Amino acid sequence: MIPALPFPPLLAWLRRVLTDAPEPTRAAAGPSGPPAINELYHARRLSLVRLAVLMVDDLPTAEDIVQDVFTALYRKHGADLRAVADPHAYLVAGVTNAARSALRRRRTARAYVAPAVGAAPAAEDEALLGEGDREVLRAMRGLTHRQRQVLVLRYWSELSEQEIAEVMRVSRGTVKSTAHRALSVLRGILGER
Amino acid sequence: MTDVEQRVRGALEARAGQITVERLRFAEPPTIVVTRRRSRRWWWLTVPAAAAVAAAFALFPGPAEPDPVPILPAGPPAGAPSSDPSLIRPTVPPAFPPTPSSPTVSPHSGIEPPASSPAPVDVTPVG
Repeated sequence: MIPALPFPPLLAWLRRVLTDAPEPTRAAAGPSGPPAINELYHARRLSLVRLAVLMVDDLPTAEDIVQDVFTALYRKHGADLRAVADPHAYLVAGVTNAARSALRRRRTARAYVAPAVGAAPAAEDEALLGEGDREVLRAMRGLTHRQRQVLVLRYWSELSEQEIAEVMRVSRGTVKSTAHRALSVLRGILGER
Repeated sequence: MTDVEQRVRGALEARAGQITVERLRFAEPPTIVVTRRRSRRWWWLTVPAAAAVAAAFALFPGPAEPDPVPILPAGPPAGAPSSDPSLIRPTVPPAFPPTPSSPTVSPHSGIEPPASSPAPVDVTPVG
Protein backbone atom coordinates (compact mmCIF):
# COMPACT_ATOMS: atom_id res chain seq x y z
CA MET A 1 0.00 0.00 0.00
CA ILE A 2 2.80 2.42 0.81
CA PRO A 3 4.37 2.39 -2.69
CA ALA A 4 1.05 3.42 -4.13
CA LEU A 5 1.06 6.72 -2.26
CA PRO A 6 0.95 9.58 -4.73
CA PHE A 7 3.27 11.84 -2.70
CA PRO A 8 6.99 11.00 -2.94
CA PRO A 9 7.91 13.28 0.01
CA LEU A 10 5.32 11.55 2.16
CA LEU A 11 6.64 8.18 1.02
CA ALA A 12 10.21 9.18 1.86
CA TRP A 13 9.09 10.47 5.24
CA LEU A 14 7.17 7.30 6.00
CA ARG A 15 10.12 5.17 4.95
CA ARG A 16 12.44 7.14 7.20
CA VAL A 17 10.03 6.84 10.12
CA LEU A 18 9.44 3.13 9.61
CA THR A 19 13.11 2.30 9.22
CA ASP A 20 14.13 4.69 12.01
CA ALA A 21 16.79 6.21 9.79
CA PRO A 22 18.55 9.29 11.15
CA GLU A 23 18.10 12.68 9.61
CA PRO A 24 21.08 14.02 7.68
CA THR A 25 23.41 16.24 9.61
CA ARG A 26 22.28 19.84 9.70
CA ALA A 27 24.26 22.36 7.75
CA ALA A 28 25.24 24.48 10.67
CA ALA A 29 28.65 26.01 10.39
CA GLY A 30 30.76 24.78 13.23
CA PRO A 31 33.68 26.44 14.90
CA SER A 32 36.04 24.92 12.35
CA GLY A 33 34.43 26.78 9.47
CA PRO A 34 31.75 26.12 6.87
CA PRO A 35 30.46 22.59 6.25
CA ALA A 36 32.75 20.34 4.29
CA ILE A 37 30.26 19.89 1.53
CA ASN A 38 30.05 23.63 0.92
CA GLU A 39 33.82 23.88 0.65
CA LEU A 40 33.79 20.95 -1.74
CA TYR A 41 31.02 22.61 -3.71
CA HIS A 42 32.91 25.85 -4.17
CA ALA A 43 36.14 24.05 -4.99
CA ARG A 44 34.82 21.47 -7.42
CA ARG A 45 31.74 22.92 -9.03
CA LEU A 46 33.45 24.42 -12.08
CA SER A 47 35.48 21.33 -12.94
CA LEU A 48 32.42 19.10 -12.53
CA VAL A 49 30.34 21.35 -14.74
CA ARG A 50 33.07 21.15 -17.35
CA LEU A 51 33.07 17.37 -17.06
CA ALA A 52 29.31 17.27 -17.47
CA VAL A 53 29.46 19.65 -20.45
CA LEU A 54 31.91 17.35 -22.19
CA MET A 55 29.48 14.49 -21.67
CA VAL A 56 26.14 16.12 -22.47
CA ASP A 57 27.38 19.08 -24.59
CA ASP A 58 24.88 21.45 -22.97
CA LEU A 59 25.74 23.96 -20.24
CA PRO A 60 22.32 24.33 -18.53
CA THR A 61 21.89 20.57 -18.36
CA ALA A 62 25.42 20.21 -17.02
CA GLU A 63 24.75 22.75 -14.27
CA ASP A 64 21.57 20.95 -13.29
CA ILE A 65 23.43 17.65 -13.15
CA VAL A 66 26.13 19.01 -10.85
CA GLN A 67 23.60 20.68 -8.57
CA ASP A 68 21.57 17.48 -8.31
CA VAL A 69 24.66 15.42 -7.53
CA PHE A 70 25.70 17.75 -4.71
CA THR A 71 22.17 17.78 -3.33
CA ALA A 72 22.02 14.00 -3.39
CA LEU A 73 25.39 13.81 -1.67
CA TYR A 74 24.23 16.14 1.09
CA ARG A 75 20.95 14.34 1.61
CA LYS A 76 22.61 10.96 1.82
CA HIS A 77 25.72 11.74 3.84
CA GLY A 78 25.07 15.06 5.52
CA ALA A 79 27.27 18.11 5.56
CA ASP A 80 30.44 16.79 7.14
CA LEU A 81 31.01 13.96 4.62
CA ARG A 82 32.81 11.86 7.20
CA ALA A 83 31.12 8.72 5.92
CA VAL A 84 32.36 9.24 2.36
CA ALA A 85 35.74 7.66 1.73
CA ASP A 86 36.55 9.59 -1.45
CA PRO A 87 34.18 12.51 -2.13
CA HIS A 88 35.88 13.39 -5.40
CA ALA A 89 35.41 9.93 -6.83
CA TYR A 90 31.85 9.97 -5.55
CA LEU A 91 31.14 13.21 -7.37
CA VAL A 92 32.73 12.08 -10.63
CA ALA A 93 30.73 8.86 -10.53
CA GLY A 94 27.57 10.79 -9.73
CA VAL A 95 28.08 13.22 -12.60
CA THR A 96 28.83 10.37 -15.00
CA ASN A 97 25.71 8.47 -14.04
CA ALA A 98 23.53 11.58 -14.11
CA ALA A 99 24.92 12.53 -17.52
CA ARG A 100 24.08 9.09 -18.82
CA SER A 101 20.54 9.45 -17.52
CA ALA A 102 20.23 12.89 -19.09
CA LEU A 103 21.43 11.58 -22.45
CA ARG A 104 18.95 8.73 -22.21
CA ARG A 105 16.10 11.13 -21.50
CA ARG A 106 17.22 13.35 -24.35
CA ARG A 107 17.26 10.42 -26.74
CA THR A 108 13.77 9.42 -25.66
CA ALA A 109 12.52 12.98 -26.07
CA ARG A 110 14.04 13.29 -29.53
CA ALA A 111 12.26 10.12 -30.55
CA TYR A 112 9.03 12.10 -30.21
CA VAL A 113 10.12 15.66 -30.93
CA ALA A 114 12.80 16.18 -33.51
CA PRO A 115 15.43 18.83 -32.75
CA ALA A 116 15.02 22.16 -34.44
CA VAL A 117 16.32 22.24 -37.98
CA GLY A 118 19.36 24.44 -38.35
CA ALA A 119 19.92 24.78 -34.63
CA ALA A 120 23.35 26.34 -34.34
CA PRO A 121 25.58 26.14 -31.29
CA ALA A 122 25.90 29.22 -29.14
CA ALA A 123 28.46 31.80 -30.07
CA GLU A 124 30.31 31.27 -26.81
CA ASP A 125 30.59 27.59 -27.64
CA GLU A 126 32.10 28.34 -31.02
CA ALA A 127 34.57 30.92 -29.78
CA LEU A 128 38.12 29.90 -28.94
CA LEU A 129 37.71 26.68 -30.86
CA GLY A 130 39.93 25.98 -33.79
CA GLU A 131 38.65 24.22 -36.86
CA GLY A 132 40.49 21.05 -35.85
CA ASP A 133 38.86 21.05 -32.43
CA ARG A 134 35.42 21.61 -33.88
CA GLU A 135 35.98 18.74 -36.28
CA VAL A 136 36.96 16.39 -33.47
CA LEU A 137 34.00 17.45 -31.32
CA ARG A 138 31.62 16.92 -34.22
CA ALA A 139 33.09 13.48 -34.74
CA MET A 140 32.66 12.66 -31.06
CA ARG A 141 28.93 13.32 -31.38
CA GLY A 142 28.81 10.20 -33.55
CA LEU A 143 30.01 7.99 -30.71
CA THR A 144 27.82 6.14 -28.29
CA HIS A 145 27.26 7.59 -24.84
CA ARG A 146 29.56 5.05 -23.24
CA GLN A 147 32.32 5.58 -25.80
CA ARG A 148 32.17 9.32 -25.33
CA GLN A 149 32.24 9.04 -21.55
CA VAL A 150 35.21 6.73 -21.62
CA LEU A 151 37.16 9.15 -23.81
CA VAL A 152 36.27 12.12 -21.61
CA LEU A 153 37.27 10.32 -18.43
CA ARG A 154 40.43 9.02 -20.05
CA TYR A 155 41.72 12.07 -21.90
CA TRP A 156 40.30 14.99 -19.91
CA SER A 157 39.86 13.68 -16.37
CA GLU A 158 43.11 11.71 -16.75
CA LEU A 159 41.65 8.66 -15.01
CA SER A 160 43.23 5.28 -15.40
CA GLU A 161 41.37 2.37 -16.93
CA GLN A 162 40.78 0.90 -13.49
CA GLU A 163 39.40 4.17 -12.15
CA ILE A 164 37.13 4.53 -15.15
CA ALA A 165 35.91 0.99 -14.61
CA GLU A 166 35.04 1.79 -11.00
CA VAL A 167 33.28 5.01 -11.92
CA MET A 168 31.23 3.43 -14.69
CA ARG A 169 30.78 0.14 -12.83
CA VAL A 170 32.07 -1.97 -15.66
CA SER A 171 35.08 -4.20 -16.01
CA ARG A 172 38.49 -2.91 -16.93
CA GLY A 173 38.40 -4.94 -20.12
CA THR A 174 35.17 -3.24 -21.11
CA VAL A 175 36.79 0.15 -20.64
CA LYS A 176 39.78 -0.87 -22.75
CA SER A 177 37.71 -2.28 -25.59
CA THR A 178 35.29 0.65 -25.53
CA ALA A 179 38.13 3.15 -25.79
CA HIS A 180 39.72 1.17 -28.59
CA ARG A 181 36.49 1.09 -30.59
CA ALA A 182 35.86 4.79 -29.97
CA LEU A 183 39.29 5.74 -31.28
CA SER A 184 38.77 3.52 -34.30
CA VAL A 185 35.52 5.29 -35.09
CA LEU A 186 37.14 8.67 -34.74
CA ARG A 187 39.98 7.65 -37.02
CA GLY A 188 37.45 6.59 -39.59
CA ILE A 189 35.56 9.87 -39.37
CA LEU A 190 38.62 12.09 -39.27
CA GLY A 191 40.35 10.19 -42.02
CA GLU A 192 43.50 9.44 -40.08
CA ARG A 193 45.32 6.30 -39.27
CA MET B 1 50.03 8.60 -27.76
CA THR B 2 48.67 8.56 -31.26
CA ASP B 3 47.68 11.58 -33.25
CA VAL B 4 43.98 10.93 -32.75
CA GLU B 5 44.46 10.73 -29.03
CA GLN B 6 46.31 14.03 -29.03
CA ARG B 7 43.59 15.66 -31.07
CA VAL B 8 40.92 14.31 -28.75
CA ARG B 9 42.78 15.58 -25.72
CA GLY B 10 43.24 19.02 -27.23
CA ALA B 11 39.64 19.33 -28.35
CA LEU B 12 38.33 18.33 -24.93
CA GLU B 13 40.58 20.83 -23.19
CA ALA B 14 39.49 23.59 -25.55
CA ARG B 15 35.82 22.78 -25.04
CA ALA B 16 36.22 22.64 -21.27
CA GLY B 17 38.11 25.93 -21.34
CA GLN B 18 35.03 27.64 -22.74
CA ILE B 19 33.21 27.04 -19.49
CA THR B 20 34.28 29.76 -17.10
CA VAL B 21 32.98 30.93 -13.76
CA GLU B 22 31.37 33.94 -15.40
CA ARG B 23 29.26 31.71 -17.62
CA LEU B 24 27.88 29.70 -14.74
CA ARG B 25 24.57 30.82 -13.37
CA PHE B 26 24.20 31.73 -9.73
CA ALA B 27 23.62 28.67 -7.58
CA GLU B 28 23.54 28.18 -3.84
CA PRO B 29 25.37 25.45 -1.95
CA PRO B 30 23.36 22.28 -1.41
CA THR B 31 22.95 22.91 2.31
CA ILE B 32 20.95 26.07 1.71
CA VAL B 33 18.91 24.58 -1.10
CA VAL B 34 17.94 21.50 0.89
CA THR B 35 17.08 23.56 3.97
CA ARG B 36 14.72 25.71 1.95
CA ARG B 37 13.10 22.68 0.44
CA ARG B 38 12.66 21.12 3.88
CA SER B 39 11.08 24.24 5.30
CA ARG B 40 8.25 24.13 2.82
CA ARG B 41 7.66 20.42 2.59
CA TRP B 42 4.91 20.20 5.26
CA TRP B 43 2.34 22.64 3.96
CA TRP B 44 0.90 20.16 1.46
CA LEU B 45 0.08 17.73 4.28
CA THR B 46 -3.04 19.79 4.91
CA VAL B 47 -4.55 18.40 1.72
CA PRO B 48 -4.51 14.68 2.69
CA ALA B 49 -5.37 15.64 6.26
CA ALA B 50 -8.48 17.47 5.10
CA ALA B 51 -9.37 14.56 2.83
CA ALA B 52 -8.98 12.13 5.74
CA VAL B 53 -11.23 14.24 7.95
CA ALA B 54 -13.84 14.47 5.22
CA ALA B 55 -13.71 10.72 4.64
CA ALA B 56 -14.06 10.09 8.36
CA PHE B 57 -17.16 12.25 8.52
CA ALA B 58 -18.58 10.52 5.45
CA LEU B 59 -17.97 6.99 6.72
CA PHE B 60 -18.85 7.57 10.38
CA PRO B 61 -21.60 10.15 10.56
CA GLY B 62 -22.16 9.58 14.30
CA PRO B 63 -25.09 8.13 16.31
CA ALA B 64 -28.52 8.26 14.75
CA GLU B 65 -30.88 10.89 16.06
CA PRO B 66 -33.73 9.62 18.33
CA ASP B 67 -37.31 9.68 17.13
CA PRO B 68 -38.96 13.03 17.67
CA VAL B 69 -41.15 13.18 20.73
CA PRO B 70 -44.71 14.28 19.88
CA ILE B 71 -45.70 17.51 21.52
CA LEU B 72 -48.89 16.98 23.46
CA PRO B 73 -51.34 19.72 24.11
CA ALA B 74 -51.08 21.34 27.45
CA GLY B 75 -53.53 19.94 30.06
CA PRO B 76 -53.83 19.01 33.63
CA PRO B 77 -51.48 16.39 34.86
CA ALA B 78 -52.90 12.90 34.97
CA GLY B 79 -52.46 12.49 38.73
CA ALA B 80 -53.67 15.92 39.73
CA PRO B 81 -56.59 16.00 42.20
CA SER B 82 -59.84 17.30 40.72
CA SER B 83 -62.35 17.08 43.51
CA ASP B 84 -63.72 20.58 42.91
CA PRO B 85 -64.54 21.08 39.23
CA SER B 86 -65.09 24.76 39.78
CA LEU B 87 -61.41 25.22 40.46
CA ILE B 88 -60.45 23.87 37.01
CA ARG B 89 -59.77 26.72 34.68
CA PRO B 90 -60.04 26.23 30.97
CA THR B 91 -56.62 26.28 29.41
CA VAL B 92 -57.78 26.63 25.83
CA PRO B 93 -59.13 30.09 25.08
CA PRO B 94 -62.28 30.41 22.99
CA ALA B 95 -61.72 30.30 19.29
CA PHE B 96 -63.52 33.53 18.63
CA PRO B 97 -63.56 35.86 21.54
CA PRO B 98 -66.54 38.11 21.62
CA THR B 99 -66.01 41.42 19.93
CA PRO B 100 -68.76 43.83 20.84
CA SER B 101 -67.89 46.20 18.04
CA SER B 102 -68.35 43.58 15.29
CA PRO B 103 -71.69 44.09 13.44
CA THR B 104 -71.50 40.76 11.54
CA VAL B 105 -72.27 38.63 14.55
CA SER B 106 -75.84 37.50 14.56
CA PRO B 107 -77.40 35.79 17.57
CA HIS B 108 -79.41 33.45 15.30
CA SER B 109 -77.05 32.42 12.55
CA GLY B 110 -73.89 32.11 14.61
CA ILE B 111 -70.60 33.11 13.14
CA GLU B 112 -70.67 34.08 9.54
CA PRO B 113 -67.72 33.34 7.22
CA PRO B 114 -65.31 36.17 6.91
CA ALA B 115 -65.72 38.56 4.07
CA SER B 116 -62.45 37.61 2.50
CA SER B 117 -63.44 33.99 1.87
CA PRO B 118 -64.14 33.25 -1.77
CA ALA B 119 -67.74 33.01 -2.86
CA PRO B 120 -68.99 29.77 -4.47
CA VAL B 121 -68.54 29.78 -8.21
CA ASP B 122 -71.21 28.59 -10.52
CA VAL B 123 -69.63 26.30 -13.09
CA THR B 124 -72.74 25.66 -15.10
CA PRO B 125 -71.99 26.36 -18.74
CA VAL B 126 -73.85 29.23 -20.19
CA GLY B 127 -76.10 28.43 -23.06
